Amino acid sequence: MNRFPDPHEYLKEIPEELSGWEEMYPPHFLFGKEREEWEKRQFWYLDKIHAPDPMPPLDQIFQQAWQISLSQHTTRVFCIPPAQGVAHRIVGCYQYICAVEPPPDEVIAEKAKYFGERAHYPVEHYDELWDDWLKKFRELGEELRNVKVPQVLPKYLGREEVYPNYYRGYTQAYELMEAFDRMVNLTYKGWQYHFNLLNLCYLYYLMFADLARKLFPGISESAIGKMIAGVEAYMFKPEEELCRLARRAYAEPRVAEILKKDTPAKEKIEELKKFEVGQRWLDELEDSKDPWFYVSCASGWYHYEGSWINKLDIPFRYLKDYLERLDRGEKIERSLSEIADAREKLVNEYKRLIKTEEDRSSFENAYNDCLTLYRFAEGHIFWVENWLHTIWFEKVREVGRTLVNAGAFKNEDDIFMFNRLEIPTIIEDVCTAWALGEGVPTLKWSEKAEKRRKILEAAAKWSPSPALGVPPKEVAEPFTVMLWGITTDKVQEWLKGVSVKPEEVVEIKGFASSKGQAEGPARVVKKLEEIVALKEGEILVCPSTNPSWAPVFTKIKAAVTDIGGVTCHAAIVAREYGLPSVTGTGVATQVIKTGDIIRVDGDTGVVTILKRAA
Amino acid sequence: MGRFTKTFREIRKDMFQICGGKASHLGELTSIGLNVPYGFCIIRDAFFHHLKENGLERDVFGIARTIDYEDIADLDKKTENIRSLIENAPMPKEIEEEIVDGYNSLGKDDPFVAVRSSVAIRDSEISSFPGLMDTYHYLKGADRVIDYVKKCWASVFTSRATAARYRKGIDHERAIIAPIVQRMVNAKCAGVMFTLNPVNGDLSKIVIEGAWGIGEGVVSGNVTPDRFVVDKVILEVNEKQVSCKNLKYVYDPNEKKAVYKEVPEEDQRKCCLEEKEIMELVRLAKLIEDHYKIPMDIEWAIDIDFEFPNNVFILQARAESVWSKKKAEPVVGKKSSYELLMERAMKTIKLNQ
Repeated sequence: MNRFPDPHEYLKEIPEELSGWEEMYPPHFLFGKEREEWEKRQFWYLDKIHAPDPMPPLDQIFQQAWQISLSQHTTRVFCIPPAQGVAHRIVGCYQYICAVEPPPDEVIAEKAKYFGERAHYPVEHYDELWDDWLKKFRELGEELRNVKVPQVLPKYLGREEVYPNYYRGYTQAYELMEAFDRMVNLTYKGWQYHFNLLNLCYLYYLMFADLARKLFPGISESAIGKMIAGVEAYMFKPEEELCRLARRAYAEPRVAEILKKDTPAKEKIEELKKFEVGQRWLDELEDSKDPWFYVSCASGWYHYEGSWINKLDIPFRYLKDYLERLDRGEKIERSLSEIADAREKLVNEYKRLIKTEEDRSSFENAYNDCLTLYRFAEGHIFWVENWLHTIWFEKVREVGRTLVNAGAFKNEDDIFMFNRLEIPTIIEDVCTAWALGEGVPTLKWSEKAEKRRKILEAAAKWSPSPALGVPPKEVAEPFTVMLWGITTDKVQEWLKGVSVKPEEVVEIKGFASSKGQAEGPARVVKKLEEIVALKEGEILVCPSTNPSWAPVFTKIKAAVTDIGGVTCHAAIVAREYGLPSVTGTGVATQVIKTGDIIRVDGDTGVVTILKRAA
Repeated sequence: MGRFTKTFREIRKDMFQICGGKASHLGELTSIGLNVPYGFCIIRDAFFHHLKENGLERDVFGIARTIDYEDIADLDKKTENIRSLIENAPMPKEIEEEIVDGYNSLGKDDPFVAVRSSVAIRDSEISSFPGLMDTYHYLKGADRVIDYVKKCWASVFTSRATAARYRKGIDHERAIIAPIVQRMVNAKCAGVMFTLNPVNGDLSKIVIEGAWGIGEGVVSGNVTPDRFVVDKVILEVNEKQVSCKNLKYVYDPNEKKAVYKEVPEEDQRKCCLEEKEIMELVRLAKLIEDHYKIPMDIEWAIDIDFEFPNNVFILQARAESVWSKKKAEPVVGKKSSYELLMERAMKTIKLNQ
């Protein structure tokens, strides 16, 4: 019989090359004897949505912050009765999560009271809540951006810093310590904001889904998702901006000519600066950058992904593509109103098929409330995971550079090799050595960073078990049900993965996210940079996509992802381009190799490997 | 086409008093552009002409009037008598000519056809009747067709049909019979489909059942069919169940009729329909439902002799009879989203092991 490994036993299976990995993470993220009994009772699964790759220690900050924020909103704020929080552990640099077992019955009853009072308020006041939320969130992001990080710990304080204006009374050393502290606090706070409405969004979605299933027994997840998902403006704004800039350039032949070249963005910018029309276009570009170029090149969770703002080659490449399409007379914009119309048509069709007035009225009520609230689910992603994270990464690199200048690190990115609790120690060590004077050593931080980097590289080569422990009898926590789609089938698929080797797999299943069938060579892309190799007519296989990937969809025949349901970005864009897509397969990028000939069935959610690459 | 026959192209829904229910449906389906195996109808006037020309009116209805419905033996004997009168009388020349012309226009080299009953009751909405012989399959040659048209006429007077009319207080003279002669599909597979889920009345689904051979297998229940449940709004297959289809109803040239045959082992668990065929059936089902504006019960077949999509045939479509009669009961009832949310919030998802 297939089972998942016991979490404590599994620690022995971690490869030798990862030795020393435990130090990289705060102690309460490790499985251990102190909490063994409780840990053994939970079901832990690999969090491939938020943490598909090995966890660089500082990047864990978001995960740490959301463990608290998501959970507290369920248990203490909205008091969702049978649900509790989502706990984390790190195993061999990979993140496992679990839906904490339900509380005792008396607690459930108690929570029901509070929940009843609080659950409907956000729906009734959505617009003002959203406006408030966006305002306070943007203020927080600006505060983070404006944190002053000293570039250098000076050999001697400048004259004007000492007298007559010794107003400050503290030096760059203190400034550095405080800056990092504030950065962390603001980021944690941002993540507190992240869940202000999200838990309810998912609960409402589940409520609507339940209703749809009662009225239309057997209705698919994908049908339900298609009724709710879709057109939150912020998600598509970065692309919209690019289209706008492309059209501006298209109207000026000289600008278009330069942008269509095969040269790096930096060179193109230099060339454009040289003449007036070019400079004017660059000014427009500057205007667009904040906030729309703060979109991540991938998920937004990892420091090495980059964003458009610091990897200008990416948006510039898309601009080149757009201009070429405009040359061919093609339309480049996406019609958001068409998507909205299609969704409305779908909902009306289902509504028409409801037999009684009472049921129809319930359907309408549930749908409208769910749709109202769900805008938060889609709207927040741009602001938190993209905009705020981009600001955070830029800020962290500033601190990294200061530490390089102070001789503690070789490279600004070394800072990401330490978790957020360790960095104050590093900063203090560096400031102490600075304060003590010339010739005082610090601990060997850059050596440590190097060692950890190697551990992460080794971890990338290891395939950890998809789950640990014993699957629960029931799940109540809304995120678990919805985002991760934990169902019996999913667990069975994972168990299959435990015993079957990737090379042996012939068929994988996911959500039927966009209809149609396609056959062709697969192109497995794990990092956005790799799409340079993508050829026309290939089938994209990737962990997931986000707005940064949208222009790719004009080249491919179909899309297959590891994670995401029918409401995810890949699904929505594929539907809009009329491409078949299967999302949330869990294992696509592991099992499929570039060059394999595969068949994607967007109607049934099945991907078949027809022929393996040589 | 003629005085006594009408092609499907000429028939419409409102002509059922002349052509009977089945023919009027098939004419209607043809008119909305569906792929219906081609055929024609021998209209009601033909039956009465046959009786008149052969001087049978008095005997046929006369004997019928003397039946003692309490005495089964009497019923059986007299109806058998009536039937042989009808079948043994020669087909009037005028009708025969039209039937032969019509038959030849269905294809060269004496194609296989079915003769099917299509009935009505004069001045009534009834368009189907219990006890009538429904279909004779795999008839070849004009002579056989003519014989079976007479057989079909005669089936107005099976014991069961005769008794049923008596019990319902319907005069036998009001019975309208208008046999259809229709080209047989050379079926790879065939079956039925409903434009709702017959299990629970859910209007958002199309349920297709099919098996190898001609549809009789599925309709009769002698073969366990493959089953597909398709969401008709989003055009997605929700459920696909491939059964072990060990029998198929096919034409046996030796026995000169359709019989049940063993399905080769390797085909038994093979799905009888391709994905594209399923979606084409769904498209046609939606077309039919949109036209009639009520849930429909449809018979279909996939013909080996044609290329997709021309190989997908609709054989019959009638109003779904079970759920349409039931009173619509609310499933959830009128609830505010707050109430629904509270219900949902208390729920847990059970994972079965």
